[in-house]
Amino acid sequence: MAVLGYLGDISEAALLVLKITVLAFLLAVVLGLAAAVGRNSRFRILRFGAGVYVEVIRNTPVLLQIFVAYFALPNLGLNLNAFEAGVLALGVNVGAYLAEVFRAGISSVPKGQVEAAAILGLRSLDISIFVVFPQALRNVYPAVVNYLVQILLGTSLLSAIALPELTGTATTINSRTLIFLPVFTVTVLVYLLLSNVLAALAGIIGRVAFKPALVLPRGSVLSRMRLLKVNAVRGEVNK
Amino acid sequence: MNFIVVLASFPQLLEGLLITLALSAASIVGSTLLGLLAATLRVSRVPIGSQIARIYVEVFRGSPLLITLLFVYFGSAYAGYHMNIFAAAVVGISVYQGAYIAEIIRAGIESVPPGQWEASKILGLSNSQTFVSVVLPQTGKIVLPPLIGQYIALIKDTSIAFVIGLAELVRQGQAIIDRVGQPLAVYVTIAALYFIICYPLSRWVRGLEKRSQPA
Amino acid sequence: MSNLEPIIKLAGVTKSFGAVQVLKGIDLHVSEGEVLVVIGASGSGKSTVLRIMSGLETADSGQVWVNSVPLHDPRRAREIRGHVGMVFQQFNLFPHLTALGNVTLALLKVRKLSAEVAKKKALAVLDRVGLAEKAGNYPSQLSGGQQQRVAIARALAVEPTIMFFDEATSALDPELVGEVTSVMRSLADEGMTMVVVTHEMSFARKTADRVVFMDQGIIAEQGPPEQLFVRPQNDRTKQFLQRVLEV
Repeated sequence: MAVLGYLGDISEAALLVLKITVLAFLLAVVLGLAAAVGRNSRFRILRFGAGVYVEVIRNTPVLLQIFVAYFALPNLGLNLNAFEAGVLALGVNVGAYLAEVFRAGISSVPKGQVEAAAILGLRSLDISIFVVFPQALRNVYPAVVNYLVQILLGTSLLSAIALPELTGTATTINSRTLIFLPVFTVTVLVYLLLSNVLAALAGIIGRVAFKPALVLPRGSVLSRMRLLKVNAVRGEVNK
Repeated sequence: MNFIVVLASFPQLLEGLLITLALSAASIVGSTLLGLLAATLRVSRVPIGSQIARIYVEVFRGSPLLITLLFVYFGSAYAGYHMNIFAAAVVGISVYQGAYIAEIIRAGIESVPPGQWEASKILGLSNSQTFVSVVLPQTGKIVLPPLIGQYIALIKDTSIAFVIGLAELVRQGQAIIDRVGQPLAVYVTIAALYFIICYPLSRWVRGLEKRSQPA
Repeated sequence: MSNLEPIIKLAGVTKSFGAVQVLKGIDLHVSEGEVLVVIGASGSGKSTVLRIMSGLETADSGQVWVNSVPLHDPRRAREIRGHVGMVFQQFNLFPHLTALGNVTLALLKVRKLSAEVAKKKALAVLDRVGLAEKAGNYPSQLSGGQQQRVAIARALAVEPTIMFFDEATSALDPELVGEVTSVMRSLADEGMTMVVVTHEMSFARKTADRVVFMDQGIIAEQGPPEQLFVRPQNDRTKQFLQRVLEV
């Protein structure tokens, strides 16, 4: 197994993948929150700006966004290395999806919750902080975890801008050794390991951090945004 | 940004666009068929079949599309079988997206109340008759919005075939940039082309989702 | 019943949702300590009246005075919040808080009580509805009847001058209705001013000081329960009572 000689390179690449994933995810959460707030803003210009951001990003390929960050931003005077461009592009990309998730999460909190709190005399800021946000967070959590995993898988595209992440490293090892099948099998296994570990960690956090405990859908590696949406619709239909 | 230069190379972009569209269409057909097959196997309770379908879904949903494409294209070459790039891209994207579509269809199937199966059984329909003529038709309303959403993701993901060298839209753009520069103008033009395809579909999905929720 | 100035006064109240006029001129007084039960078919406007009295909806026209607050004046309508209690059909308990957390939230954030005092007070109110031992449970761990009793405790904790009940037992399984109505009855016995929209005719008959029958956006008939139930004057009232009491 010649591939074993390259385990050092592979684990280094895996660490890089995790680093990019975490940073891009943090950026995505910030951008997603900002865009979600912007889309519900009183100010037309903010609504418009947030809307353009969300729609343009969601309807164009992430690979193109990575290329823009790496190859085109220097023309605008912004020189980013591959790592920075990768974090920026993936963060901006997933931020647009999270914006929609957060918006849906807030509107998923029943109107009666706000009414009950208002009659008790809570101010609207208190209602947001103590009644709406905790419930919205719980509702969006599975979808947010799903996008975390999407970022992880998306880092593979950074091989196209020559970043030595997992896929790029695998390609390099392969071109040196020509042992295609073992190298790429190990690579797939590492991706599966990382995505499952992330999802499992998120599951544990969900059980511990949410009261009552939040149990992510079982039986698959990943909780899934689309399927949760389907389930929500199904609930409505059955009612 | 100099769009004049881009305009001069526009025929080249259109060539790429055609390949992107052809790849999208072929992969949509392929992934839907695979997804339907995997979802059917998954709910069938056929012992080995449903296990295989489960593993298929888990593996592809937990790894990147790029790896699948590399596997199909270079893997087949290493195995001594030379696939053309377009065919490899269709196979890779279909297999990968099929895993996502399988889960969407499965959720749709499971949303059909068990009473439908029981009622059909009492009427004397076989399981497969029930599945084809009673259950599947009812999944449409629930499956359609996420399915179209997945097709949008698929169309955008065809750009990843760039990496195995397919001359689709992004690669043609990159070729233009290599020749004349102007990366930003080229990327904006490409983005606009994707947007023109995907945005109407996104709007459609939103409309469907709104309609499937009671007022 | 007291003879003081009414604590709730509605005069000429109308309300439309879109093209549908739900209330077509409501005049209604409620005295302090009175238990008023509002009955009527669904769509008669009875819940809308309650939501206007509690400040959740604003009347299109007419005057609404509750607890000396002019709710028809949008600048002042908010003053009523924290002074009346509302119990909803769907409970509307906060699912992410325990029973205790539900009751203490307003005590902490509105009354600005210390955590210790708020807890003591909340436990006392929970005890009043018979649920002190469930203080640490989340709503999802409680039966429907228990959830609704927690909701009553949550409303009572802020010491409201009036309690509104909007079909508080309609979402409950029949065997759980009794535990909620008995809490409501004990509140009435203690002299709480209550406006109750309900389908529970036996509650209306036994507990109400006055029953209002609403039909198509107006008050068709009102009077003490023995009069309204035994000798209804209005034909619509007779028809309605025949329908609901036959079941």
